[in-house]
Amino acid sequence: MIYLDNAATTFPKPQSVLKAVSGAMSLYGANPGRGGHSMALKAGRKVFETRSILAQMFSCDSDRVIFCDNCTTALNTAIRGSLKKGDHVIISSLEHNSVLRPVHAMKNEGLISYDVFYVEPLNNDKTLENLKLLIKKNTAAVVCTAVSNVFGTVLPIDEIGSMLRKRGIKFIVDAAQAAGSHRLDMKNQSIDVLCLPGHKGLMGPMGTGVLLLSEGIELQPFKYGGTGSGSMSAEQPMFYPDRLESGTVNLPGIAGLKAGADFVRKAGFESILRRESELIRLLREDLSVIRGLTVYDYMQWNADTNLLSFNIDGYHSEQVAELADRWGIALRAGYHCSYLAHNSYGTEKTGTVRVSAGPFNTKKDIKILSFYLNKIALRKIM
Amino acid sequence: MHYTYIKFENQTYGEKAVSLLAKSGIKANLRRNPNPNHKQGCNFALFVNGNVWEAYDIITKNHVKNLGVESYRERL
Repeated sequence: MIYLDNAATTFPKPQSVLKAVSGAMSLYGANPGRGGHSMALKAGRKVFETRSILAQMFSCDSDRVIFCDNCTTALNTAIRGSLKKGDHVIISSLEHNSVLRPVHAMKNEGLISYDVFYVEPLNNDKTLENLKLLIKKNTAAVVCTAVSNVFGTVLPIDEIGSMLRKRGIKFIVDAAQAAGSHRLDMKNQSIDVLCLPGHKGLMGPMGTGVLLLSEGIELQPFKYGGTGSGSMSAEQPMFYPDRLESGTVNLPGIAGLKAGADFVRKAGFESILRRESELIRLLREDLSVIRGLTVYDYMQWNADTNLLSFNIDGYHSEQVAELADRWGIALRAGYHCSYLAHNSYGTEKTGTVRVSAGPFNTKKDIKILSFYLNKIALRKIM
Repeated sequence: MHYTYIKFENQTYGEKAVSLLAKSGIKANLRRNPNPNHKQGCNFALFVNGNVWEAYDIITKNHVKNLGVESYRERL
Protein backbone atom coordinates (compact mmCIF):
# COMPACT_ATOMS: atom_id res chain seq x y z
CA MET A 1 0.00 0.00 0.00
CA ILE A 2 1.24 3.48 -0.89
CA TYR A 3 -0.14 5.53 1.97
CA LEU A 4 -0.85 9.17 1.07
CA ASP A 5 -3.48 9.97 3.69
CA ASN A 6 -1.12 11.36 6.29
CA ALA A 7 -3.35 14.37 6.99
CA ALA A 8 -5.90 11.95 8.49
CA THR A 9 -3.25 10.17 10.51
CA THR A 10 0.38 9.49 9.77
CA PHE A 11 1.30 5.97 8.76
CA PRO A 12 3.51 4.11 9.31
CA LYS A 13 4.66 5.25 12.73
CA PRO A 14 8.36 5.17 13.60
CA GLN A 15 9.48 1.92 15.22
CA SER A 16 10.37 3.89 18.36
CA VAL A 17 6.68 4.81 18.77
CA LEU A 18 5.56 1.18 18.57
CA LYS A 19 8.23 0.22 21.09
CA ALA A 20 7.24 3.03 23.46
CA VAL A 21 3.53 2.09 23.36
CA SER A 22 4.31 -1.55 23.93
CA GLY A 23 6.78 -0.72 26.72
CA ALA A 24 4.24 1.45 28.53
CA MET A 25 1.76 -1.42 28.50
CA SER A 26 4.11 -4.25 29.31
CA LEU A 27 6.77 -2.73 31.54
CA TYR A 28 5.22 0.06 33.60
CA GLY A 29 1.50 0.09 32.83
CA ALA A 30 0.39 1.59 36.15
CA ASN A 31 -1.90 4.57 36.60
CA PRO A 32 0.27 7.70 36.29
CA GLY A 33 0.10 10.42 38.96
CA ARG A 34 -1.99 8.36 41.30
CA GLY A 35 -0.27 5.60 43.29
CA GLY A 36 3.00 5.80 45.19
CA HIS A 37 4.54 2.51 44.07
CA SER A 38 7.51 2.62 41.76
CA MET A 39 5.61 1.60 38.62
CA ALA A 40 3.03 4.37 39.10
CA LEU A 41 5.82 6.89 39.69
CA LYS A 42 7.62 5.71 36.55
CA ALA A 43 4.41 6.07 34.57
CA GLY A 44 3.89 9.58 35.97
CA ARG A 45 7.47 10.49 35.10
CA LYS A 46 6.92 9.44 31.49
CA VAL A 47 3.83 11.65 31.30
CA PHE A 48 5.82 14.55 32.74
CA GLU A 49 8.68 14.02 30.26
CA THR A 50 6.15 14.17 27.42
CA ARG A 51 4.68 17.40 28.80
CA SER A 52 8.16 18.88 29.00
CA ILE A 53 9.05 18.02 25.41
CA LEU A 54 5.79 19.47 24.09
CA ALA A 55 6.22 22.59 26.23
CA GLN A 56 9.67 23.12 24.71
CA MET A 57 8.46 22.46 21.17
CA PHE A 58 5.60 24.96 21.36
CA SER A 59 6.93 27.48 23.92
CA CYS A 60 4.73 27.20 26.95
CA ASP A 61 4.97 26.06 30.56
CA SER A 62 4.88 22.29 31.09
CA ASP A 63 2.12 22.70 33.73
CA ARG A 64 -0.05 24.09 30.96
CA VAL A 65 0.24 21.11 28.64
CA ILE A 66 -3.03 19.20 28.97
CA PHE A 67 -3.52 15.71 27.55
CA CYS A 68 -6.81 15.00 25.80
CA ASP A 69 -8.07 12.12 23.71
CA ASN A 70 -7.76 14.04 20.44
CA CYS A 71 -7.56 17.51 18.91
CA THR A 72 -11.36 17.77 18.80
CA THR A 73 -11.59 17.40 22.58
CA ALA A 74 -8.84 19.99 22.96
CA LEU A 75 -10.77 22.41 20.72
CA ASN A 76 -14.07 21.79 22.51
CA THR A 77 -12.37 22.42 25.85
CA ALA A 78 -10.76 25.59 24.52
CA ILE A 79 -13.95 26.94 22.95
CA ARG A 80 -16.42 25.97 25.69
CA GLY A 81 -13.96 26.83 28.41
CA SER A 82 -13.10 30.31 27.26
CA LEU A 83 -16.45 31.73 26.17
CA LYS A 84 -19.30 33.08 28.23
CA LYS A 85 -22.85 34.14 27.47
CA GLY A 86 -23.01 37.14 25.17
CA ASP A 87 -19.54 36.66 23.66
CA HIS A 88 -18.85 36.99 19.96
CA VAL A 89 -16.42 34.66 18.18
CA ILE A 90 -14.80 34.77 14.76
CA ILE A 91 -13.64 31.68 12.89
CA SER A 92 -12.03 31.29 9.47
CA SER A 93 -13.66 30.08 6.27
CA LEU A 94 -11.34 27.06 6.22
CA GLU A 95 -12.31 25.58 9.56
CA HIS A 96 -12.76 21.91 10.23
CA ASN A 97 -16.07 20.86 11.78
CA SER A 98 -14.25 20.42 15.08
CA VAL A 99 -14.16 24.23 15.29
CA LEU A 100 -17.37 25.07 13.44
CA ARG A 101 -19.64 22.63 15.29
CA PRO A 102 -18.82 23.56 18.89
CA VAL A 103 -19.14 27.24 17.99
CA HIS A 104 -22.36 26.65 16.08
CA ALA A 105 -23.79 24.55 18.93
CA MET A 106 -23.08 27.35 21.42
CA LYS A 107 -24.87 29.74 19.10
CA ASN A 108 -27.87 27.38 18.93
CA GLU A 109 -27.89 27.25 22.72
CA GLY A 110 -28.28 31.03 22.73
CA LEU A 111 -24.91 31.56 24.39
CA ILE A 112 -22.78 33.24 21.76
CA SER A 113 -22.80 34.69 18.25
CA TYR A 114 -20.18 34.05 15.58
CA ASP A 115 -18.94 35.25 12.21
CA VAL A 116 -16.73 33.67 9.57
CA PHE A 117 -13.83 35.57 7.96
CA TYR A 118 -12.94 34.64 4.41
CA VAL A 119 -9.39 33.40 3.83
CA GLU A 120 -8.31 35.01 0.55
CA PRO A 121 -6.23 32.67 -1.59
CA LEU A 122 -2.71 34.05 -2.02
CA ASN A 123 -3.45 37.29 -0.16
CA ASN A 124 -2.65 37.39 3.55
CA ASP A 125 -3.20 41.15 3.83
CA LYS A 126 -6.73 40.84 2.51
CA THR A 127 -7.37 37.87 4.82
CA LEU A 128 -6.28 39.96 7.78
CA GLU A 129 -8.46 42.83 6.61
CA ASN A 130 -11.46 40.49 6.31
CA LEU A 131 -10.92 39.41 9.89
CA LYS A 132 -10.49 42.95 11.24
CA LEU A 133 -13.79 44.04 9.66
CA LEU A 134 -15.69 41.46 11.74
CA ILE A 135 -14.30 42.42 15.14
CA LYS A 136 -16.96 43.77 17.50
CA LYS A 137 -16.87 45.19 21.01
CA ASN A 138 -17.86 41.81 22.45
CA THR A 139 -15.49 39.70 20.31
CA ALA A 140 -13.87 37.44 22.89
CA ALA A 141 -11.94 35.04 20.69
CA VAL A 142 -10.79 34.15 17.21
CA VAL A 143 -10.49 30.45 16.46
CA CYS A 144 -8.66 29.44 13.34
CA THR A 145 -6.68 26.68 11.79
CA ALA A 146 -2.97 27.12 11.10
CA VAL A 147 -3.14 25.03 7.92
CA SER A 148 -6.28 24.02 6.01
CA ASN A 149 -6.86 20.27 6.14
CA VAL A 150 -8.46 20.39 2.69
CA PHE A 151 -6.32 22.74 0.59
CA GLY A 152 -3.09 23.00 2.58
CA THR A 153 -3.48 26.77 2.76
CA VAL A 154 -1.24 28.23 5.47
CA LEU A 155 -2.96 31.02 7.40
CA PRO A 156 -1.02 34.15 8.49
CA ILE A 157 -0.86 33.09 12.14
CA ASP A 158 1.89 35.58 13.12
CA GLU A 159 -0.04 38.56 11.78
CA ILE A 160 -3.38 37.43 13.20
CA GLY A 161 -1.82 36.73 16.61
CA SER A 162 -0.08 40.06 16.81
CA MET A 163 -3.22 41.97 15.75
CA LEU A 164 -5.40 40.14 18.31
CA ARG A 165 -2.91 40.55 21.16
CA LYS A 166 -3.03 44.34 20.69
CA ARG A 167 -6.81 44.23 20.95
CA GLY A 168 -6.91 41.83 23.91
CA ILE A 169 -8.82 39.16 21.97
CA LYS A 170 -8.06 35.52 22.72
CA PHE A 171 -6.40 33.57 19.91
CA ILE A 172 -7.19 29.85 19.73
CA VAL A 173 -5.30 27.92 17.05
CA ASP A 174 -6.24 24.55 15.61
CA ALA A 175 -2.88 23.01 14.75
CA ALA A 176 -4.28 19.68 13.54
CA GLN A 177 -2.41 19.87 10.23
CA ALA A 178 0.46 22.05 11.38
CA ALA A 179 1.87 20.45 14.52
CA GLY A 180 5.05 18.58 13.73
CA SER A 181 5.62 20.19 10.36
CA HIS A 182 5.04 23.96 10.61
CA ARG A 183 6.55 26.46 13.01
CA LEU A 184 4.30 27.01 16.02
CA ASP A 185 5.62 29.17 18.82
CA MET A 186 2.99 30.25 21.31
CA LYS A 187 5.09 33.08 22.73
CA ASN A 188 6.36 34.59 19.50
CA GLN A 189 3.15 34.10 17.54
CA SER A 190 0.88 35.42 20.34
CA ILE A 191 -1.12 32.19 20.49
CA ASP A 192 -3.20 31.92 23.66
CA VAL A 193 -4.50 28.40 23.22
CA LEU A 194 -3.02 25.77 20.92
CA CYS A 195 -4.87 22.54 20.13
CA LEU A 196 -3.20 19.65 18.41
CA PRO A 197 -3.48 15.94 17.70
CA GLY A 198 -0.72 13.58 18.75
CA HIS A 199 -1.27 11.12 15.91
CA LYS A 200 -0.68 13.28 12.85
CA GLY A 201 2.51 15.31 12.35
CA LEU A 202 3.77 14.43 15.82
CA MET A 203 3.78 10.76 14.79
CA GLY A 204 2.16 9.45 17.99
CA PRO A 205 -0.68 6.94 18.31
CA MET A 206 -4.37 7.71 17.82
CA GLY A 207 -6.25 8.64 20.96
CA THR A 208 -3.81 11.41 21.82
CA GLY A 209 -4.50 15.12 21.68
CA VAL A 210 -2.96 18.08 23.45
CA LEU A 211 -4.24 21.43 24.68
CA LEU A 212 -1.57 24.04 25.46
CA LEU A 213 -2.29 27.24 27.33
CA SER A 214 -0.29 30.45 27.51
CA GLU A 215 0.44 32.02 30.88
CA GLY A 216 -2.58 33.87 32.23
CA ILE A 217 -5.15 32.01 30.15
CA GLU A 218 -7.84 30.44 32.30
CA LEU A 219 -10.32 27.87 30.96
CA GLN A 220 -13.37 26.47 32.68
CA PRO A 221 -13.20 22.67 32.85
CA PHE A 222 -15.11 20.69 30.25
CA LYS A 223 -15.17 17.60 32.46
CA TYR A 224 -14.82 17.08 36.19
CA GLY A 225 -13.50 14.17 38.22
CA GLY A 226 -10.52 12.48 39.78
CA THR A 227 -7.12 14.05 39.27
CA GLY A 228 -5.01 12.35 41.93
CA SER A 229 -4.80 15.70 43.73
CA GLY A 230 -6.87 17.55 46.33
CA SER A 231 -8.79 14.30 46.76
CA MET A 232 -10.59 15.28 49.96
CA SER A 233 -12.39 18.19 48.34
CA ALA A 234 -15.57 18.20 46.27
CA GLU A 235 -14.15 21.10 44.25
CA GLN A 236 -12.26 20.55 41.00
CA PRO A 237 -8.62 21.67 41.44
CA MET A 238 -8.06 25.08 39.89
CA PHE A 239 -4.39 24.50 39.06
CA TYR A 240 -3.09 23.06 35.78
CA PRO A 241 -2.90 20.50 34.32
CA ASP A 242 -5.26 18.90 36.89
CA ARG A 243 -8.00 21.46 36.32
CA LEU A 244 -8.57 20.19 32.78
CA GLU A 245 -7.27 16.64 33.03
CA SER A 246 -9.76 14.58 35.02
CA GLY A 247 -9.65 10.81 34.72
CA THR A 248 -6.84 8.43 33.88
CA VAL A 249 -4.71 9.67 31.01
CA ASN A 250 -3.74 7.50 28.06
CA LEU A 251 -0.31 6.37 29.25
CA PRO A 252 0.56 4.11 26.27
CA GLY A 253 -0.58 6.85 23.91
CA ILE A 254 1.38 9.53 25.72
CA ALA A 255 4.51 7.36 25.82
CA GLY A 256 4.09 6.84 22.08
CA LEU A 257 3.54 10.55 21.58
CA LYS A 258 6.81 11.28 23.38
CA ALA A 259 8.63 8.90 21.04
CA GLY A 260 6.88 10.54 18.07
CA ALA A 261 7.79 14.04 19.24
CA ASP A 262 11.39 12.88 19.78
CA PHE A 263 11.40 11.56 16.20
CA VAL A 264 10.19 14.94 14.88
CA ARG A 265 12.68 16.88 16.98
CA LYS A 266 15.55 14.69 15.83
CA ALA A 267 14.57 14.95 12.17
CA GLY A 268 13.69 18.66 12.52
CA PHE A 269 10.19 19.81 11.62
CA GLU A 270 11.61 22.19 8.99
CA SER A 271 13.34 19.37 7.16
CA ILE A 272 10.25 17.13 7.44
CA LEU A 273 8.12 19.86 5.87
CA ARG A 274 10.75 20.64 3.23
CA ARG A 275 10.87 16.99 2.20
CA GLU A 276 7.09 16.57 2.16
CA SER A 277 6.67 19.85 0.26
CA GLU A 278 9.10 18.68 -2.40
CA LEU A 279 6.93 15.61 -2.94
CA ILE A 280 3.80 17.74 -3.21
CA ARG A 281 5.55 20.11 -5.67
CA LEU A 282 6.59 17.14 -7.75
CA LEU A 283 3.01 15.92 -7.76
CA ARG A 284 1.72 19.37 -8.74
CA GLU A 285 4.08 19.40 -11.70
CA ASP A 286 2.95 15.95 -12.80
CA LEU A 287 -0.74 16.75 -12.36
CA SER A 288 -0.49 20.08 -14.18
CA VAL A 289 -0.13 18.28 -17.52
CA ILE A 290 -3.03 15.87 -17.04
CA ARG A 291 -6.00 17.05 -19.07
CA GLY A 292 -9.26 17.17 -17.15
CA LEU A 293 -7.55 17.22 -13.77
CA THR A 294 -7.92 20.36 -11.63
CA VAL A 295 -5.53 21.08 -8.78
CA TYR A 296 -6.93 23.51 -6.25
CA ASP A 297 -4.01 25.86 -6.07
CA TYR A 298 -4.64 28.20 -3.22
CA MET A 299 -1.00 28.43 -2.33
CA GLN A 300 2.02 30.02 -3.92
CA TRP A 301 3.79 27.55 -6.18
CA ASN A 302 6.86 27.56 -3.95
CA ALA A 303 4.99 27.56 -0.63
CA ASP A 304 5.73 24.79 1.81
CA THR A 305 2.72 22.57 2.23
CA ASN A 306 2.40 18.84 2.63
CA LEU A 307 -1.02 18.29 1.09
CA LEU A 308 -2.90 18.99 -2.10
CA SER A 309 -6.49 18.64 -3.30
CA PHE A 310 -7.69 17.92 -6.82
CA ASN A 311 -10.59 16.61 -8.89
CA ILE A 312 -10.88 14.84 -12.21
CA ASP A 313 -13.62 15.88 -14.63
CA GLY A 314 -16.52 13.45 -14.79
CA TYR A 315 -15.70 11.73 -11.50
CA HIS A 316 -16.85 12.28 -7.98
CA SER A 317 -13.83 12.51 -5.70
CA GLU A 318 -14.91 9.28 -3.96
CA GLN A 319 -14.76 7.40 -7.27
CA VAL A 320 -11.19 8.52 -7.88
CA ALA A 321 -10.10 7.42 -4.40
CA GLU A 322 -11.82 4.07 -4.88
CA LEU A 323 -10.02 3.50 -8.18
CA ALA A 324 -6.71 4.48 -6.60
CA ASP A 325 -7.34 2.04 -3.77
CA ARG A 326 -7.68 -0.78 -6.30
CA TRP A 327 -4.10 -0.01 -7.29
CA GLY A 328 -2.92 0.02 -3.71
CA ILE A 329 -2.86 3.77 -3.17
CA ALA A 330 -4.57 5.29 -0.11
CA LEU A 331 -6.03 8.75 -0.76
CA ARG A 332 -8.73 10.64 1.11
CA ALA A 333 -11.80 11.79 -0.80
CA GLY A 334 -15.02 13.58 0.04
CA TYR A 335 -15.49 16.57 2.28
CA HIS A 336 -12.79 16.03 4.92
CA CYS A 337 -15.17 17.11 7.71
CA SER A 338 -14.90 20.67 6.46
CA TYR A 339 -18.21 22.07 5.30
CA LEU A 340 -16.86 25.63 5.45
CA ALA A 341 -13.74 25.01 3.34
CA HIS A 342 -15.64 23.35 0.49
CA ASN A 343 -18.31 26.04 0.47
CA SER A 344 -15.63 28.74 0.47
CA TYR A 345 -13.71 27.47 -2.50
CA GLY A 346 -16.62 26.02 -4.51
CA THR A 347 -15.94 22.30 -4.17
CA GLU A 348 -19.12 21.47 -2.28
CA LYS A 349 -20.61 19.37 -5.10
CA THR A 350 -17.90 16.79 -5.52
CA GLY A 351 -15.63 17.29 -2.55
CA THR A 352 -11.98 16.83 -3.44
CA VAL A 353 -9.39 14.09 -3.57
CA ARG A 354 -6.66 14.87 -1.06
CA VAL A 355 -3.08 13.69 -1.24
CA SER A 356 -1.09 14.21 1.94
CA ALA A 357 2.55 13.27 2.23
CA GLY A 358 4.27 11.94 5.32
CA PRO A 359 7.87 11.50 6.43
CA PHE A 360 8.11 8.02 4.93
CA ASN A 361 6.79 8.78 1.43
CA THR A 362 9.16 8.78 -1.52
CA LYS A 363 9.35 10.27 -5.02
CA LYS A 364 8.55 6.82 -6.34
CA ASP A 365 5.21 6.89 -4.46
CA ILE A 366 4.37 10.18 -6.17
CA LYS A 367 5.39 8.94 -9.61
CA ILE A 368 3.22 5.82 -9.23
CA LEU A 369 0.29 7.98 -8.11
CA SER A 370 0.72 10.36 -11.07
CA PHE A 371 0.84 7.42 -13.45
CA TYR A 372 -2.49 6.03 -12.23
CA LEU A 373 -4.19 9.42 -12.02
CA ASN A 374 -3.26 10.00 -15.64
CA LYS A 375 -4.84 6.66 -16.54
CA ILE A 376 -8.00 7.52 -14.60
CA ALA A 377 -8.25 10.90 -16.35
CA LEU A 378 -7.84 9.19 -19.73
CA ARG A 379 -10.60 6.73 -18.73
CA LYS A 380 -8.14 3.86 -19.01
CA ILE A 381 -9.11 2.61 -15.56
CA MET A 382 -12.81 2.13 -14.86
CA MET B 1 13.36 8.71 62.10
CA HIS B 2 12.67 12.37 61.34
CA TYR B 3 12.03 13.46 57.73
CA THR B 4 11.76 16.87 56.09
CA TYR B 5 10.42 17.19 52.59
CA ILE B 6 8.86 19.59 50.10
CA LYS B 7 5.22 18.94 49.37
CA PHE B 8 3.50 19.17 45.94
CA GLU B 9 -0.11 18.92 44.93
CA ASN B 10 0.63 16.57 42.05
CA GLN B 11 3.40 14.55 40.46
CA THR B 12 3.74 17.06 37.61
CA TYR B 13 5.01 19.80 39.95
CA GLY B 14 7.16 17.32 41.83
CA GLU B 15 8.84 16.06 38.66
CA LYS B 16 9.35 19.62 37.52
CA ALA B 17 11.18 20.29 40.79
CA VAL B 18 13.28 17.12 40.40
CA SER B 19 14.51 18.13 36.95
CA LEU B 20 15.11 21.72 38.06
CA LEU B 21 17.17 20.61 41.06
CA ALA B 22 19.12 18.16 38.92
CA LYS B 23 20.31 21.12 36.86
CA SER B 24 21.75 22.57 40.08
CA GLY B 25 23.40 19.26 40.93
CA ILE B 26 20.92 18.43 43.70
CA LYS B 27 19.54 14.91 43.79
CA ALA B 28 16.02 14.43 45.07
CA ASN B 29 13.59 11.57 45.33
CA LEU B 30 9.89 12.08 44.63
CA ARG B 31 7.46 9.87 46.52
CA ARG B 32 3.86 9.80 47.44
CA ASN B 33 3.47 11.89 50.61
CA PRO B 34 3.74 9.36 53.46
CA ASN B 35 2.00 11.67 55.90
CA PRO B 36 -0.82 13.45 54.04
CA ASN B 37 -3.04 16.02 55.62
CA HIS B 38 -6.59 14.63 55.50
CA LYS B 39 -7.95 18.02 54.43
CA GLN B 40 -5.65 18.25 51.41
CA GLY B 41 -5.94 14.63 50.38
CA CYS B 42 -3.33 12.89 48.25
CA ASN B 43 -0.13 14.67 47.31
CA PHE B 44 3.57 14.14 46.68
CA ALA B 45 6.69 14.63 48.75
CA LEU B 46 10.18 15.46 47.54
CA PHE B 47 13.01 14.14 49.70
CA VAL B 48 16.19 16.09 49.02
CA ASN B 49 19.70 14.65 49.27
CA GLY B 50 21.19 17.71 50.91
CA ASN B 51 19.89 20.97 52.25
CA VAL B 52 16.10 20.99 51.85
CA TRP B 53 15.91 24.76 52.33
CA GLU B 54 18.40 25.40 49.56
CA ALA B 55 16.30 23.18 47.30
CA TYR B 56 13.13 24.92 48.41
CA ASP B 57 14.69 28.28 47.58
CA ILE B 58 15.56 27.14 44.03
CA ILE B 59 12.10 25.73 43.50
CA THR B 60 10.22 28.81 44.69
CA LYS B 61 12.53 31.20 42.80
CA ASN B 62 11.66 29.26 39.64
CA HIS B 63 7.94 29.45 40.37
CA VAL B 64 7.34 25.72 40.72
CA LYS B 65 4.05 25.42 42.57
CA ASN B 66 4.42 23.70 45.94
CA LEU B 67 2.75 23.32 49.31
CA GLY B 68 5.80 24.21 51.38
CA VAL B 69 8.22 22.27 53.55
CA GLU B 70 6.92 19.74 56.03
CA SER B 71 8.40 17.36 58.56
CA TYR B 72 7.22 14.15 60.12
CA ARG B 73 8.51 11.50 62.47
CA GLU B 74 8.24 7.93 61.25
CA ARG B 75 6.51 5.64 63.72
CA LEU B 76 8.24 2.31 64.06
